[in-house]
Amino acid sequence: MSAPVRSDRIERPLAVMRIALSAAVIAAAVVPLYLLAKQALTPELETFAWPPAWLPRDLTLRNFAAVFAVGELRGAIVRSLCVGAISAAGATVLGAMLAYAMARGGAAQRVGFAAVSGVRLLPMIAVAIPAGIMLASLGLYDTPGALGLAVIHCAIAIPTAALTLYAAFAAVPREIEEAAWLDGASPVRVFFAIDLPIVRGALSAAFVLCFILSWDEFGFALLLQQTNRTLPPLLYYYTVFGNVGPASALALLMMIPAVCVVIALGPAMRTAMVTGSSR
Amino acid sequence: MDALIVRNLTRIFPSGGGVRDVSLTISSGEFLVLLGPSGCGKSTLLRLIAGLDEPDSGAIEFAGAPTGAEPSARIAMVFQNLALYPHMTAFENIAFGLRLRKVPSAEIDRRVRQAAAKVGLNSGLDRRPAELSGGERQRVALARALVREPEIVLMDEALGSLDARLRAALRIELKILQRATGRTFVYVTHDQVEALAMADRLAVMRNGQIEQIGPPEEIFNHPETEFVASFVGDPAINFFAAQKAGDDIEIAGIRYPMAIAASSGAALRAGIRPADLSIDSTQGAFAIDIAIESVEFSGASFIVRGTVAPERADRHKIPICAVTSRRVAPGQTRRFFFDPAKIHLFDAASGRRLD
Repeated sequence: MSAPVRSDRIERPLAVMRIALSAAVIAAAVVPLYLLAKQALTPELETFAWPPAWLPRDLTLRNFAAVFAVGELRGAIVRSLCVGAISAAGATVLGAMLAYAMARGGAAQRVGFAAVSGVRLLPMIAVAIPAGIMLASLGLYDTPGALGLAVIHCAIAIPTAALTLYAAFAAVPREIEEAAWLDGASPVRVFFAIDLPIVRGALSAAFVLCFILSWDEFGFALLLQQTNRTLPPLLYYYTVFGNVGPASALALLMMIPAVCVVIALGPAMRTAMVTGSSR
Repeated sequence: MDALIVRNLTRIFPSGGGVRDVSLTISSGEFLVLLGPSGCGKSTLLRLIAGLDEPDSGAIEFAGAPTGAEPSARIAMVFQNLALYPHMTAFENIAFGLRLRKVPSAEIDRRVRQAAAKVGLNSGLDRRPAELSGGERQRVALARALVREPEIVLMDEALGSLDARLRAALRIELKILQRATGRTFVYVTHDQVEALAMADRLAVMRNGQIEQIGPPEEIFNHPETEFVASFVGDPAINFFAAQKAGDDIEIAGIRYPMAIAASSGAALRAGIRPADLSIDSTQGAFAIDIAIESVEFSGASFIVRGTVAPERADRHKIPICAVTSRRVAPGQTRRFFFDPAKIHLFDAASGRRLD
């Protein structure tokens, strides 16, 4: 069978439209990034110059130097990385369990979806104070290790992980599990030896999404880590004190780990790998 | 020896499907086929035997095992969609059950290769299912079932969506394999050709119940119900409204002298297989005229379709099909002959056979 051949009369305008749309979307993403980079790489005087110029005149690394001169920076980077990694790992593991139960239908599915949507609909900041009090009573408030924040981020990220993984688990045919059961595997064994390896691409995707969620999270980070700050509040303080240049430099630097994670795990990010299981 | 006894098994789904009060004895080493249209309960029965579903009532007893014992060791199943483990190589797919049983790895290697050879899987053991052809996947699924040396192998539409040629080839291989291994096979299909070809014993199911069980020849030649007669056979059996009229039986408006134990005027259904109608007058004492509408050549014979002649104003056209060895011309009316013994008579109300 050959693909239907469409005449140029239809094909050409479609191609033009495709290119135009792609260009618009890419521009929407790239232009703010460009402006941010320009701010980071030029003296502040230039940023506030009128009329604003598209091209930088005077390139400098002074803003980056200012960022690295701040003593807090190293601690904040380590803290953000740890909080991101711990919360993403926790949310992926717990979210996988929830997603599996949801994918297998029944009451777990209804309750799971209600819970997941509920958490996502809740304005998070509304529970920040109670969460802070709970963490304080556990001795986890504003600690240097920021474990308390990691726990909160993990809780926030579970719905994201569960929704990402749900489709993957739902795509695993029931019969594969039944076959494993008939082969003599216990239900726990089936989950770990069959389901998890099949959805491992989705696990990577869930981890990445949860990591980025935590990396960018501002509200809880601001309230729960008042003195042992993570990166987003640090960036916030730069901005409120009017240090637009260093703030831009830090913002640019903050993108690096997230981009690295996506590049590293990107190829592995897929939903369930069930190809070939059936005829 | 009995391998398995099913006693009064009932499992009804909210949708209304399932099995109703099915009892069945499966002998050791036999090839039993469960045949029926979709939704007749054949797959449900198979899943109940496998232990993948719980019956509402009734019991399944394995020879020499207490009821409710773990079924998995004695049973293996080949699923309709094969259900191979997509993240494992063919070798690991087959080895999975043995690994769980902590079989030493040298023995695993030996048994996997032996099972693979048995099902004709000579290469590709190191490949994932996605890299295998449909036929190879089928063989992996089969080897995975056989490698544990189960007493009973269950197969759910196992050759389902393969292309016709491969299917026919695997059908023969499967039958030879079953005889060679001496295992008990329970095979579910909706394909009556496959069922007749493979079965030692054939159970025809409908609405969650077994309509008839027996050797395929008996199912074909002596169907107990109208449903069995119409479901088995290709081209399908011809059915006509009939009734008892004195000492005769009136079939499609024609009276034939036939003795039958039914009250006069009773509504009957008369069936005759297309192959039992012949254009050769030596083939039977009774005759029927057919206005031929179409003739298809099927390779070995011709499938003739038409209506019963002469047409009468007081009734609809009665379609009829015959299989002949010579070409006949469409558009003409010809006389076909048949043996009265080849007529299957059923009670019109109950659908049960009358003899």
